[in-house]
Amino acid sequence: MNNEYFLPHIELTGNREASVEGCKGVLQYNEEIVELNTGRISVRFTGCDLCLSSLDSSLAIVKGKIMTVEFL
Amino acid sequence: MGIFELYNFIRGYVCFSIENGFYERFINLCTGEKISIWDIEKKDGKIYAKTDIKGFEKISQPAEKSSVKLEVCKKIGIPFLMKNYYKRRFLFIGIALFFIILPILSGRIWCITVTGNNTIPDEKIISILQKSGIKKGTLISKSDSKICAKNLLNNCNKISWAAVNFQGSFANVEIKETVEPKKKLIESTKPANIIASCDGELVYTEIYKGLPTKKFGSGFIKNEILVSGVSKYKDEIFEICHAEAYIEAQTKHEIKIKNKTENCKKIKKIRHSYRLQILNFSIPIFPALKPEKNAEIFDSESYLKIGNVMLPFGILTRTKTYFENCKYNNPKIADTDLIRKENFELEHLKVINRKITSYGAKYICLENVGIETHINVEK
Repeated sequence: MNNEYFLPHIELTGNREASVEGCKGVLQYNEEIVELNTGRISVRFTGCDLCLSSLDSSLAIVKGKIMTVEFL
Repeated sequence: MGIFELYNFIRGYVCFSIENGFYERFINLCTGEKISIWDIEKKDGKIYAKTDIKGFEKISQPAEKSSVKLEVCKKIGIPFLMKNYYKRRFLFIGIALFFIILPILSGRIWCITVTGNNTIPDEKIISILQKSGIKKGTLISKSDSKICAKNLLNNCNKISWAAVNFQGSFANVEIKETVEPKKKLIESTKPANIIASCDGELVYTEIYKGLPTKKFGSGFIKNEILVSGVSKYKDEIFEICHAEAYIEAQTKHEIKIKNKTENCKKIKKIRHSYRLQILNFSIPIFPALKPEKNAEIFDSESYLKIGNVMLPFGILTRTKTYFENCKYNNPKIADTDLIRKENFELEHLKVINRKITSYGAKYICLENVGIETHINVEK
């Protein structure tokens, strides 16, 4: 089975917006850190003035000044 | 306002805040229960977010499970506005109807005015316009004023000029009538005879020009020449002139009255029926009148007015006048019919003798019987 099916799909628009498909939940949320559970791995966005502009059962859109993107 | 914001405004949404407790658990519980939340941001130690009306109804359970304190900040959208103004809903419905109905009605003709007519009745002109397609309720954009004016000229000989102008919802019709001479006179330079207008016996003549053909006391029949415009002299010379004369003759007239021997009189009866006219619709208020033979029917209209402006709301009245025969025993009353006819038919005549008969009366009158007729002369 192809492992790519279980990985999230992340789209970055500069350092202002990131949309994450395959999001299963929020692990951590505050103005500087947003950590999302995407199944096998989790994605952490760090920056400032971060907010979740849209949150669905499978899609999350993070807006704000993104400094780093980490895969944990 | 973007399309997304507009869409949410139409559906309605709630801005809320949560504090204390576990924010992440709350967000995960909301997404698990398919509660749509967006614009999640953290400010001053609180999390602010937005959800729709259906989501807000379900949000209390995740808030309780995640031990957060939920607080509603704002309710935005048309459903909330409608709830606030529910008691005044008919006002808004009325305003909406006004803006829908006004452009529909203002593009139609609701009042037709006719000016410039002296002898031609307004109803005749309006009936000609109806055949051209102009009547109350027709669209102004589909009406052609030039074609209507042309139809008026073609269908009525008495009109010499016509114009139709549309001003707002008014159709103003201006006409000029033809001027006809009251009597067709033959020019005094053209040759003419004088003939009799009816049978009679010559009583008095004054000849100004021409040759008389009848003597005093002689009888004549209708259209017989009384004064000739052609004079013949001894030397076979003919002179043609325009005959002029005043000819007074004794004539006979007769007036007959129906049912005079039965001694009956006629009683006048009047019946009315009314119809309510609203825009282009006519609604009967009372039942229609039964048809009667020999009845005179007269229609009249009265419309509401504001100043000089006539509104398309009014009452149409139909008046039916007829006479019913009623037998009686007094014969003198039957003569009133005879006197009425006498005054009408013998108005311009001098009655010198009257004889009552079983069916009416016979009269002998004095009148001017001369009529000028043109003589055709071939060169």
